[in-house]
Amino acid sequence: MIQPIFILAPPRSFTSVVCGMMGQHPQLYGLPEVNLFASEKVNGLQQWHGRRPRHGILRAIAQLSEGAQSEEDVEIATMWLDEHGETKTGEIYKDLVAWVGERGLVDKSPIYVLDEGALDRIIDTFPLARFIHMTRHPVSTAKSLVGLRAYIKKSGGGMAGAASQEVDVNRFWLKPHVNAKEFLDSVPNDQWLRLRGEDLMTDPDLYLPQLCDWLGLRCDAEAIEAMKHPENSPYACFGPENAKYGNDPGFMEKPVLRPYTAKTPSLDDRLPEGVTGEISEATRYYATLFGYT
Amino acid sequence: MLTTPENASLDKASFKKLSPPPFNKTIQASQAVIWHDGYVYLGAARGPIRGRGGRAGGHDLGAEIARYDPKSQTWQQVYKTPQESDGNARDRSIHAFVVQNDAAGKPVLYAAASGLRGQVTLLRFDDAADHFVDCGLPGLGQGGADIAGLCNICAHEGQVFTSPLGLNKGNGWADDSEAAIAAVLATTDPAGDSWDIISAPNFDDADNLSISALCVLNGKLYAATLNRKSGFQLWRSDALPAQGKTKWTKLLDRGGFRGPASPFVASMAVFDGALYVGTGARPQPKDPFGPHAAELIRVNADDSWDLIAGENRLTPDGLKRPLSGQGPGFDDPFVQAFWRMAVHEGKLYVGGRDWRAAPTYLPRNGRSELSPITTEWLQLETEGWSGDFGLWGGDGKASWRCITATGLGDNPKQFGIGGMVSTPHGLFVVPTASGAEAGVEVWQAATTKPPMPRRPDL
Repeated sequence: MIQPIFILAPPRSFTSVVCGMMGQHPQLYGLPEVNLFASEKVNGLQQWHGRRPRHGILRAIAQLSEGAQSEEDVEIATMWLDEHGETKTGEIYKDLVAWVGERGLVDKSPIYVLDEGALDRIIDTFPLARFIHMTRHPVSTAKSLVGLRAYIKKSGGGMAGAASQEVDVNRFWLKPHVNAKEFLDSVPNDQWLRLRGEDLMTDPDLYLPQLCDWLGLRCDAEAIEAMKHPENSPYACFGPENAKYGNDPGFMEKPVLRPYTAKTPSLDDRLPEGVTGEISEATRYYATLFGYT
Repeated sequence: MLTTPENASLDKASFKKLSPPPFNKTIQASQAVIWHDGYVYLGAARGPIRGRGGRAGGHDLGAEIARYDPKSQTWQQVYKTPQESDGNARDRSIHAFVVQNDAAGKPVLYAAASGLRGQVTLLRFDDAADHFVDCGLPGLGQGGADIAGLCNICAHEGQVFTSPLGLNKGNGWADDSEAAIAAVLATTDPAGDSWDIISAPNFDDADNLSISALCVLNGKLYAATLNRKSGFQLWRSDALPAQGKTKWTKLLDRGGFRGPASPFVASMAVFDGALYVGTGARPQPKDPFGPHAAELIRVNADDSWDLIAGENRLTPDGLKRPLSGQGPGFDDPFVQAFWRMAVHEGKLYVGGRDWRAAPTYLPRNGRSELSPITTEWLQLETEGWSGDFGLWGGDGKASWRCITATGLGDNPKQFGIGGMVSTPHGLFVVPTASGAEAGVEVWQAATTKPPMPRRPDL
């Protein structure tokens, strides 16, 4: 059995496209944002799953159990999930694992680094899980988040949890990354690595084979080529009206992998409009630690 | 992977403490030890007591050198720093030794004495006087440059190489990490006055603040930089010419692509045809966000490199997984540096320096970014620390053994291994301590032969 792989990062850290890429590896299956481990039991997900954050798990259940994501399939998935309100989320996750068979799940749900306890639930459920701590320059992350908020506002939506509040780069970037780092410091060394998203996006031909090698997966040209087509993911498009999201809207609109040239903002750059506060000493330190200047 | 005893010939019980070296009461550290002509030479450093440099008030007794004769098991003082007119010592520490043949082909022992307030002084062992004497020009003849000390000194085919390390800034022991001249210097005569700069200043990167370690392998010189901004760099020269400049190639960048968690190289050693690089995190300036444990890297003769202990990562040079299967610090998060290495009877020994002795990661104003449970764990680990430090031995590849994670002996003021040298009489290990009158201990380990294979049960 290939152990589940969790991409740990705050929103706007290339996780959608990277999860989409990894999910196209013949031995893997990339999930949308299922956010399951945000609660001990399914009922507890209500606080997170009020609106859009529930779309991902519903789409995943529909796709994996019904083989498609029609509105009817999503309704079936909704009923099934509601019936399991008292079930532990880890058990639901094990159902997902069983449904994909020999392929390993890849999960990039951003709630995991925002919610205290989610990471512990993951390691309790899957003690041998693998983790990829994905980073992005804090200024770029903030800029991207401001853009996402504008998009959602324009489309008449709202954001849940921390994402609904003002964009404070220290809270939105620092805390999730420190959460991830603290957690990984307690996980055996061979189960995790840290990766700058900019590096992977700039040179997927260099880094995807290494990633597969580390995960013990096929590294042949066919497998790597498949990974370069995240648009083939069943979640690389908007879902039906009753579960439209569950992934980054920008990725769902344009899921094809495009040549990427890393813009190199400076930690001394002026933060974009819409971002409050200034980069704190701690944020600067951890950003530097992750290789940003 | 941690291995069975037969994979490392020494264990903690192999070590026995020698009688104390005859150092003055202000000595508490040693950062240089060498085996030469039948003796273990031990350089010692004073502790930061009664203010520093010019403010010491005449109470500073300064650096000394003693040598140990394993046959007679006796110590002899062979250098005592001169006192200046105000009563303060001239030298604060002995940072490096090297042996270089003189014109007649006779091996001569040199030492570098870091200045308490002024420039570094080279010392030469005078056989007739049975004592070290000054030689060469202060500060390697580099004018008035603030050259407080040297990183280490290495010799190769008639040349000696070193690099300045440490700044006094006119105030005495102001910085132990940076350098006024971050470049490699070479000479054919350490006792003379001619040192040539044979590398570009700072290796053309202003963020390279000093060269922290030098080593020769296969006729080529390796130089590692301190770079707090992006992590250490490792440079290799072309085959060294008899004299003059050489071309340099950068082999490792950005702390081996780990970043500033590996800002400098604390130790280098040649073992089994490869260069071993032990990284470290500098205590200066105080790092309020650690700990980040050190990594051990192997650089092969073809310039490729492997991670021996450290973090998995994807790099421009390919996937790096620790061959030992162990993370930074051989899975000990408080190993601030792999501080010293020595090759002894076919094994590589790596000595650590423990961060808990000076817990900069617990600043007085707290760590607001950390969870309470992590902060509490750091506090408990630190409060429970008592002179612990690590020593590991292995084959340089996959098989390593932790010889001790709790130091040697029971001196609560020790925090790392500041000296380690292989001799025909065993491995000598010199823990370093902090605190007034902490003293310097020397431990000797005679090799323990692997146990005989057990007879099969009949």
